[in-house]
Amino acid sequence: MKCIDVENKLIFYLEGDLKTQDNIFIEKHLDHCGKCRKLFDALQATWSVMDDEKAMTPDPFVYNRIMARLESSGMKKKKAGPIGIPRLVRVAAIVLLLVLAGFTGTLLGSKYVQNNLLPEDLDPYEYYAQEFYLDSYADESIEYYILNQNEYEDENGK
Amino acid sequence: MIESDLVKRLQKGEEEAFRELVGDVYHEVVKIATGFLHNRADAEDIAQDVMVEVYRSIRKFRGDASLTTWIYRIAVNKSLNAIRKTKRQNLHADVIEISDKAVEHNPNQETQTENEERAKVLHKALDALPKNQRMAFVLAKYEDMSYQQIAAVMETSLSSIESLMHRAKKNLQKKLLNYYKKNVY
Ligand SMILES: [Zn+2]
Repeated sequence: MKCIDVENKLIFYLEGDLKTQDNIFIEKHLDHCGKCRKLFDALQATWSVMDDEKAMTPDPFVYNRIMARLESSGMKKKKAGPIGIPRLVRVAAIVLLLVLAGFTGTLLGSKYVQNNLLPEDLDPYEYYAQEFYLDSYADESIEYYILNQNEYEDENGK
Repeated sequence: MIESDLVKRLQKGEEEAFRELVGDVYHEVVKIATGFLHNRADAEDIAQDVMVEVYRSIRKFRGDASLTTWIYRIAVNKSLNAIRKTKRQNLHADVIEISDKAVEHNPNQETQTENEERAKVLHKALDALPKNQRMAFVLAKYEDMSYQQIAAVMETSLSSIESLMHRAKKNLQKKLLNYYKKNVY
């Protein structure tokens, strides 16, 4: 094989496209022909650039970047809520929460009133004491208290 | 992935399915675009564009080709469009050609690393390939696709791809060896 024949087959040799016979010939030629060897080495080095270019460092934010592009292109609406709940569902959920809150409030309130009215499990003495401390001034109007304040003070020795 | 399931979920607008798809094909698309554009930033830009296009058009996907074949076809088209755009922009700029006589040994280039120099030479040789040879070559070498898969993406026969690949390699060899003979020895 002449140098020119080898040159014309170098890329196919590099790519493993040749038949065994040709492979052996070229291998032998490259072993003793420095000129062809240099060309082959250069070709191989250039070829390896492709491997370097293919090496990837994965970008963990790719999905977010694509989503941002979709949103800015108007293809995809910005996420409705923190977990993308449809608007109608969100409105319904808020209304339901308000109703539930009102209902809970009424229920708790009525229970409190009920406790005061019917202190069934309260010891009668305790109940009496509670009534006394809480409501000892119940019959006295604020006007009456202010009008008679001096009297009280006098009574207390002022 | 079980493709038909994924397609159904994508067509229903399932976001998790799209996330899976991005995980599966994004880097492959970047590799293809790199083969055409020779620049990672541009390739990423194209790849993200491709994924947006896939999201936009998935309802039109009828399954005549496989999902990845369809996506890679979009990647090739978008890459070629981007090249066309930059070519138009550089129409009046000085373009250094690698032809048999145009490349003189430039002493300034000696400061560049050998790898950068090699990359430059390879890119110019690739850019000089006829469009179809270039498409076949990029899909084979940058995406490691089989000739059968390339034939599907390019909608042609296996034997056409074999012929395109043979001619692409021959053309590249000619350009590269001419360059080495003039500049290295
Ligand atoms: Zn030789």
